Amino acid sequence: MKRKWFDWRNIYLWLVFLVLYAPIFYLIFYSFNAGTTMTRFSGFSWQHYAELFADTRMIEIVLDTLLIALLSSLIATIIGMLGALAIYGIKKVWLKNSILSLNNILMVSPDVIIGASFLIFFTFLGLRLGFSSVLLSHIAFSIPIVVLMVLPRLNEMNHSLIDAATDLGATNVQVLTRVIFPFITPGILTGFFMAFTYSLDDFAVTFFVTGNGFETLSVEIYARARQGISLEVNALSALMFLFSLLLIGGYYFIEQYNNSKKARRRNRMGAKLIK
Amino acid sequence: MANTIIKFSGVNKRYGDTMALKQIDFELEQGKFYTLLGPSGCGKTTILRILAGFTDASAGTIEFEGKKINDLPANKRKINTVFQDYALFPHLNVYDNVAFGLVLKKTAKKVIHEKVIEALRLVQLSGYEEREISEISGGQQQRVAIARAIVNEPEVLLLDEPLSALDAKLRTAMQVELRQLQQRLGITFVFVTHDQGEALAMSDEIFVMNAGEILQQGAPVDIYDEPINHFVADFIGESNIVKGRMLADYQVEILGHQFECADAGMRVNEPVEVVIRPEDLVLTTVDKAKLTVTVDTQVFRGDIYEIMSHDDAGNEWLIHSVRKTAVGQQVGIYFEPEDIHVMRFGESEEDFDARLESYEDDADEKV
Amino acid sequence: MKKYNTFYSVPYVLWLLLFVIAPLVLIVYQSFFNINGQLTLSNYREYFGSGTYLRMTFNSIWYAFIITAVTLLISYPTAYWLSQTRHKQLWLLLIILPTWINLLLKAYAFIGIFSQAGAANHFFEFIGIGPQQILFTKGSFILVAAYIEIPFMILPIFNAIDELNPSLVNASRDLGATNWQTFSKVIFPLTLDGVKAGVQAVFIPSLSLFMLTRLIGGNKVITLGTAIEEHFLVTQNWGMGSTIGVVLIVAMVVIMFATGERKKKGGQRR
Repeated sequence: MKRKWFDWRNIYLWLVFLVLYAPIFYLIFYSFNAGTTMTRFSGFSWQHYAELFADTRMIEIVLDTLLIALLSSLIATIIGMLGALAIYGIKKVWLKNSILSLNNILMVSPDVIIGASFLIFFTFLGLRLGFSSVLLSHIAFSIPIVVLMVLPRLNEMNHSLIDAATDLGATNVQVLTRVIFPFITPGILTGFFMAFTYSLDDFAVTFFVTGNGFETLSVEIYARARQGISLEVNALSALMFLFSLLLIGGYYFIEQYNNSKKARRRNRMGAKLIK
Repeated sequence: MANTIIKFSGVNKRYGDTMALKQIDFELEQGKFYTLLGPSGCGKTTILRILAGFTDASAGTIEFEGKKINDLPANKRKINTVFQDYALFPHLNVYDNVAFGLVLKKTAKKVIHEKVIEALRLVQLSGYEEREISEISGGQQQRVAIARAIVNEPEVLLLDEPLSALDAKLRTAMQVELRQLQQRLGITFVFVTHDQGEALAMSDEIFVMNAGEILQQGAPVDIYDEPINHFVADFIGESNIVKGRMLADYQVEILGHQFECADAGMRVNEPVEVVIRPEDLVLTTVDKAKLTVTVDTQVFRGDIYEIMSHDDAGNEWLIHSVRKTAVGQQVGIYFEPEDIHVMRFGESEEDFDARLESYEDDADEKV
Repeated sequence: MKKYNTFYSVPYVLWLLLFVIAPLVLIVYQSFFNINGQLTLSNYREYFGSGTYLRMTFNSIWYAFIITAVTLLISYPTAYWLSQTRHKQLWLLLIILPTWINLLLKAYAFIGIFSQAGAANHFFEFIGIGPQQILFTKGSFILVAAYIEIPFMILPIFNAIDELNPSLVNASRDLGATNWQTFSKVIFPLTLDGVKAGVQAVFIPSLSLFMLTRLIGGNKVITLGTAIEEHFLVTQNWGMGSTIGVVLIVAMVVIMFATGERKKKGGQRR
């Protein structure tokens, strides 16, 4: 479809992008403000970054947040993957559908409901609120997304591949490790990735189950934002934006690397054929 | 049979309320090419899956080299399968796909290499080792699937409609190749297909199946020439089937005319069905004719004319003729006594075989 | 595989029981207790008896509706035109990227932008309207909520449009439909599933955005989410909070049914 540069449809798209990114760049812009407000830019300065790096409490919170995200997404990926395999193995349609519906409850529930019900649950169990309750919650709400990422890959898999592997002498474990895992790896990776971002992003659930002793970044930002503007938060958001870009870049790089590996193999083969 | 390799005795398979297989009994000899032939849903693939060990029989025993293998899992059987959709592992290249079974058996690397190269040579895919599965054509994928199975040196190779995804020309070529491969390897092939042409071209022996039962078993020529019933006659090749009455041995009445035939051993006046193959009908003039028909359509097929016609009683007659005629014309058709195949209603395969044997002996004595 | 199934089901089934079923049962159970821990129906009586709660619920649904409508209006054209660009996957990635920025940070940015001397008011001064109170109004709440939800609406709609077989559009043109007819009779009906998924993804969270009502809405807006947070974390009246939670769950189920894809048997594969 040919389209002129100044087509009004393009202008609309640009406008949407502008609106989507303006607040983010606004934040980042003011992180370099020599002043202390987000309204008047009084000169360039790194001072808020310096403050941020000197703020050991904040750094600790960032590390805790990353630790929670990493641990919860890792554990959720393992449980979710096993869950997807279990669901895949179910023969009865009604049972499969009901388990899938149960699986999706946490996907569609509002955060406050998850937070409130987990709070009741942990209190009921007598679990002390803090690191462990936050970790458990993050694992819990990340599991369904992993299942939803892995299951379609499993369903896509031709069932005769399993028969073929068995036919060629593979045991159940070998079928799992040599045929099923390689096939569903992309789904597992996506699931892990999604779980990781879910965990980093979560505020509401954490807010409910965190108690007093433990904080994640979201909770800390909420607390600070309620007190008003602090440009240290701006500096932090600039760094987080950078981190997101790095993650995307890394993801893109891995994809490119995989593709080029295939391409290299093809070239090698081509060379062999020419010989 | 001396070297029976597989024996099914009273095998049943039930899926819920439906019987996929009813009382299947057969024996397979070592080194032969068998074909299970039948329409989709007739149970042929079920037999294959039971043989391979993917599906359990509901009743009956399956023996392999004289030992019951009902409970032996698929990965322990000396039987390999070529799947209909090939089921090649998409994450492995050609070499690794073929090597899969050997790697699982922890075969030495060097041995694996030799065997894989040899297997690929056998299926004429030398030089394709490093290719990805997605990079090769359907025909080549099919060869890889065969190589992957035979590299494990199975006693029996099962092939589940492996040619169905190929185009017509490649199919014919592969039929010849498969047959040659089987003879070279000297192992038993069990081939499943719904294509009668394929079955006739390749097999030592054909099992014609329908609705979970084996209707007839025999060499391609025997099944073609002496179909046991309407279904087999219709399924194998094209046929004209009309109702008739057995007047005496070697005498059958069709459409009010009495004809000499080559069948015997039936009751007098027994109602029967009569098959005459379209290529056995010869166009002739009305005065020399055994039957007179009116031509409805005529289609040129290259090697023959395919002529549809009808007689006065309204029966349709399909004629394959090298000579052409004209639509609407009255023509005579002529056939020899041995072109008439008489089929009894509801005759079992054993009775059928016994009856054929009895009068074939007669005939021999007469000569 | 049968033997192994039970083995890998264990952790997953434990999760289903402990973190899906148990919390749901507990929140329903808790809703029958008053603040003094007595088993009673008083929470429900209070909820349905007093105008305050019903009005709050109605307002919350109304706001969620407006937010969803605004988001949809902006998102559909975006998704549609986005799908026609070259490098559409790259543009889509750029749409998704902002969702990786923590929601709180985005809300925080708007505190700056909408403040008395912020960028928005600079703009209003520039076009001659003069500074306005933007922050802590209902309008600002709706705008920020819509801003946050837009990518979640665009994504499913984009996917639905992207999956659309282009020859259907060509067929429609071929049969004499105008661009508008093609859109209204072919494209939109076929992408309705995407719209439904988007509505689901936006409407339900919009009922519970308590942090935005606090940070941006300045407590002018009370949503179901705000009320639940208030009861659980401020007034510690868990029974009443749970009651509102149960209402929210019911609302959610209703939405799910209303927008759920009723897949026809033998319908198209996805």
